[in-house]
Amino acid sequence: MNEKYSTPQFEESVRKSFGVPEIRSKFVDEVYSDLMQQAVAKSRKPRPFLGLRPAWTVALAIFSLMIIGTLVIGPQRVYAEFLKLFGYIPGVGIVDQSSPIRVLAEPVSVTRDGITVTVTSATLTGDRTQIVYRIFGVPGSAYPDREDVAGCWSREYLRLADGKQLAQINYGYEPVPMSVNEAVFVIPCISGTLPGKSPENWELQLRFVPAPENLTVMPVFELTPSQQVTLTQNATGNGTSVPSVDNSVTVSKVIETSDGYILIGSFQPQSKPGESFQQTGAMEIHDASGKKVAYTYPQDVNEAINQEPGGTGWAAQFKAAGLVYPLNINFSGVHLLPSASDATAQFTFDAGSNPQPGQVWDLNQQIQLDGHTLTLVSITANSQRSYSFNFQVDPKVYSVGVQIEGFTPIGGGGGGGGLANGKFNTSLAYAQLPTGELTVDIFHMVLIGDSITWQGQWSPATPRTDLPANPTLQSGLCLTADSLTQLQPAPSTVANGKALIYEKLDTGTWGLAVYNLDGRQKQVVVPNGNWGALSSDGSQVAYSASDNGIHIVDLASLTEKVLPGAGGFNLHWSPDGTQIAYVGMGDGVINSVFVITTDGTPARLISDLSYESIIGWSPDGKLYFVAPYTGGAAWKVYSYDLASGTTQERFNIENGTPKFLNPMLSPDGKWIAYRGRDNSSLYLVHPDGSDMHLVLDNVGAVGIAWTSSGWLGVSIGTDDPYVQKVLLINLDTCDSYILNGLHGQLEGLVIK
Amino acid sequence: MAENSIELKSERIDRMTDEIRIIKATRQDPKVFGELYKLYVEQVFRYLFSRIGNVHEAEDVTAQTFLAAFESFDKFRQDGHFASWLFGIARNKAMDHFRRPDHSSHMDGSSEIAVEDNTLARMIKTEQEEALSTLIQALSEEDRELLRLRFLADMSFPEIARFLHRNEEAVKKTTYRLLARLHSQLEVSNE
Repeated sequence: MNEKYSTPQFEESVRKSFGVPEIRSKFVDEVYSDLMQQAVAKSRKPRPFLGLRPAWTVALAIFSLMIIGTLVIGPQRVYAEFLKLFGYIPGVGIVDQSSPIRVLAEPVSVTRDGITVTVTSATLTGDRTQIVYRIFGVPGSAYPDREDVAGCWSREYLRLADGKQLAQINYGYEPVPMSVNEAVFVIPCISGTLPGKSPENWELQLRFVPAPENLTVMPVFELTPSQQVTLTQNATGNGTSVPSVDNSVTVSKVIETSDGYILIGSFQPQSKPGESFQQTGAMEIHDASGKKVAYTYPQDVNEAINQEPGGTGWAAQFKAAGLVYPLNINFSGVHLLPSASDATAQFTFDAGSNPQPGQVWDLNQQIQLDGHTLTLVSITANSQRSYSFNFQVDPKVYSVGVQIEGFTPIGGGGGGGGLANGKFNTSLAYAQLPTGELTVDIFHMVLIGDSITWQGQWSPATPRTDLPANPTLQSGLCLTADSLTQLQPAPSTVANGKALIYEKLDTGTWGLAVYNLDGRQKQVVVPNGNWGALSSDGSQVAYSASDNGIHIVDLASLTEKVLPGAGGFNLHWSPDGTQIAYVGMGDGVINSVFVITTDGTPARLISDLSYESIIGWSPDGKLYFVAPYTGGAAWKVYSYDLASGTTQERFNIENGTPKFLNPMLSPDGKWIAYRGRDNSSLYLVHPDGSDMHLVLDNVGAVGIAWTSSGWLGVSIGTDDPYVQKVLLINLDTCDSYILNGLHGQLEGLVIK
Repeated sequence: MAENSIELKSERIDRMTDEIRIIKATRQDPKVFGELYKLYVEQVFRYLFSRIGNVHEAEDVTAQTFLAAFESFDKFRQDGHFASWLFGIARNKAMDHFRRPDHSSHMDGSSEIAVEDNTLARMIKTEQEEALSTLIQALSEEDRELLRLRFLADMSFPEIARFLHRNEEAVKKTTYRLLARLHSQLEVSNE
């Protein structure tokens, strides 16, 4: 179990991956109306007055004004005039600048019972008040350990001197009147905590001042749809392409940043009735010379993306030095087509009289359907009275339908996904699991049609003259996204050692394998496990098993032992290999740091903070770890002296990702490497907080491992979500190499 | 990380607290059931669509679910676990739907039906969502149902445990293990 994955972003991705459309508001209203009619019939009580809430009053007023404005001066002009009022503040987003912008005079902190609440910044504009605050020191024991036990849920608000309360609205709070320069930020209770477990009624006195003249507010330029051109190319069967012009990819807003641009737009493929597509890749941007433009997703424009009318909103931030215009913004996909015929196939399999959950029938049954070959690899019985059918199909097949003759299913799913190496799985659930010899029908095949590319173009209205054609790298920066293509393979004198790689194994499961650095002598250590850690001498691998237990594998003998009583992840070997630090659960702590000796003595809790990550062991016997702030993407770095049992607070990481920081201490204790806020760059900092600097810029850094000889190993993402590239970097010289034989996430590295 | 988990927990607690208040009020005034409807209509639709794979049929079964829940609300005696009760009705309605002869031939996988019948916008997923979709399709039906209940029905762990007649801790561990597995496989595409 690993709660770190329970992030809203990832859960949202899981949710979206089901492809459920938005519910139609008309349908919602109709059913509501039906229910109310029934309710009225059931009750003779008078209908309560449905008063309008203030937020709705404001929304209706704005809507009415826009309608009136549209009638008077036309829609395009209303929109343009509307947007002219807006500017972009990095870290804040797109704001209304129709009235003077104000900011927080100075950060404000209050500490009670070891818990500190800090308002770090505030931005006051005509349309909202944005408050950034963070909390540190809330013990895990303050939160309920069951979700059906209610914790505090009162919303924070701003209170003005006259007692008026400014409530939360989208992306902030209601605006503070221009005449008011002070407010109290009130937190009735720390969200989710149990009554009496943490201080309540927090009040922080805030003072606002005019924004300094050097506050960066970048203009937001609107592009009207009439300026858009999208070239859609359908690859036909004979390899030629059929271009057509439509409006599938649009750019609606442009922001000039100090080193490039932010583009915000929409992707809504234009289609004919009955056409279906599947997007097959992420958006790509190329300049007119064909160079791929590395971009990041600017989180602070989420509100603008969500307001994109129709289609899917997108945004990209990129550096513009040296780019040749126009830029081509591409989305790729394939057509999906029902098979031309109603061909069906049939086979039988014997489920036996008493199929058991988890039982697998390896069939490898070849099926011909309308000229296409499908292999039913296996059928699995599941505990929810269902059968899963696992297919391997030829590259043209997207999915097929399955049914068992004579049995009516009550549920099921899957079936699509033949785009992923031709493998997919579909299942059928029944009130009673069918038994005995069963006849299975295969039908309703959907085929993958021509590939299609939607390509929008954009050029700046006026060329930038403030950007150097060939910018020099800033001090300490070793690699950028552009320089990755120039990396050379590591020479044999360097590539002499072992790497622990987390990857999709030949069996189809995800596990851990040890390789020589040239990619040879692959040794699968863990067929189904993760969070691997290679001991400093390269002789042992510790990992987190699927039951959450911590196991150690000796690489020479492949013998395995389980550390009794220890369960968790984020494993780090001590330099002498006698101890392992890990993050686990315990009484009153959620994901805190523990240390256990490899001879199995009971684990001891090192910190009672929660949701921590281990950084590593220093040569002088300290264990470094980080704990996150609640709210505000920042981390606090600590060291724990194992000899004295004392903990020392070190410094804050303010520019790291809140998602998967993956901090790693070098074996000599001089550097901490961690992933940046963009989930792609890599930073270094000394353990005392000094010399924090960017070392890999937007390269897609994921896995990080150091060697005792001073090399930094980093695995980086590629266009293929199952493949990473592994790099070696010498930080003294910035000499960098690629290890071409390794293709997974780097979890450990030893260089002789 | 920490704050995210806490925020999620807090949102569910908000809903639960509101829900208990509304349930009590509905017993006094049936019209208040409309508030329970508003609280759950999206989740029920998402859950049913993921099982049925067709917007119009999922809407039809969603409407049936709420009308049935309204009619039998007097039989719902508890203050809590409304979601388990409601989704039990939804699941039964989905079963009834599939038992109808005209639907037996449609049991060819939700995503396929979606391909044919629904809007283009929904077909388009990001690369990560598509990769996730592929991974989820490779899961067992049992695991997929767990994800549906947690992320489409937006049920809490106690609600899921009650719904599936399983131990809450086991449900929680299975879910997090599933997420860990999916997340690990998608670490790259997440970037």
